[in-house]
Amino acid sequence: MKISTPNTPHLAQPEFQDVYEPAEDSYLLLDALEQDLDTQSPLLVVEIGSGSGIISSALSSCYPEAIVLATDVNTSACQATLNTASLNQNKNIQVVRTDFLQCLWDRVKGKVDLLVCNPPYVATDEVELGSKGIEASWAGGHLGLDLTRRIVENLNEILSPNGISYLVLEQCNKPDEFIEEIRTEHGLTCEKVLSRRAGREFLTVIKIKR
Amino acid sequence: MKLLTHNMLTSKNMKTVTTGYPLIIQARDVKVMEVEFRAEFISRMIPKIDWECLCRAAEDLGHLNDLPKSVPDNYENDEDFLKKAHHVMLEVEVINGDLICPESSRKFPVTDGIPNMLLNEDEI
Repeated sequence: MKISTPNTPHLAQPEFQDVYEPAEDSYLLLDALEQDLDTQSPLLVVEIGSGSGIISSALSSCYPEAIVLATDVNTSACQATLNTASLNQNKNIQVVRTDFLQCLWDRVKGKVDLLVCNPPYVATDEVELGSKGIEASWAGGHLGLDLTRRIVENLNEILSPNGISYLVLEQCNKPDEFIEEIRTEHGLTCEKVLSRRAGREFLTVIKIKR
Repeated sequence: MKLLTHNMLTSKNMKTVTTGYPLIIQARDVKVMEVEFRAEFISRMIPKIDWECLCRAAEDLGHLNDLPKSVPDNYENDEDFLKKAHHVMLEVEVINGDLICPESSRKFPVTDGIPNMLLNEDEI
């Protein structure tokens, strides 16, 4: 499935300085999705932490027959996502400012066909968590797995019966151990889709389903 | 914020709230825009939405028109119905306004079509 990289020239504007600009991790996720997504047609696509909106926009273009809910805690990111959608002619994206789908949970649980997240994966102290600004895009707490683990713990509840999730991991997350945790503690299927070195980071996109 | 999105939002994660649904819409700016009709999308989406909430929201925005109060049997083949559902779900957007929790009266602002549902630490 061919995925064109959405245009995001507006991110250079000062109002978006607090928004995570697409980087190697974003592009790796796009490449992984392009490589791995099949012709299944999801109805409800959700992104946690949409940032610039580049991933949601790409998915929206891929799946015009779906509704894409892009969420973020950062106000600027929400606006950036909206602008990205508009610039790339995406008609089926909706943006909501929320923390971890909290305001959507009760209504979307069991219905999400595709859940995507490029999480804050950098290992940090707990005290750096809780920001709603740019730090929220990288501060990942212990082993950098704070948000990632929270997603995995809730996947059984949020995914539809054939729902799939794609997440980005970095080597500081100890991916092999974490994948094992996903399999044994949550009874989910998990595989690596694509890996790439990016500077000092070594990134891996994983795919999780029942 | 389309009414389809509003259909998915609750304030249930607030600690004082039991159901938090549906959120009451107090709109200041509403936009109606043409969206390509896709019968299959609407058909697949109908079972996932709360129809009563959708009707109430449409009514609050003055867009109820002749939308049926309940989903007809054999709706998948009723193009007339699907088109009415499509209009209300996807073509009516709240640009600015507030969503109000029916239990706590807490207001969640909608700005430029984006609902801000973020809670304060003491509300969770």
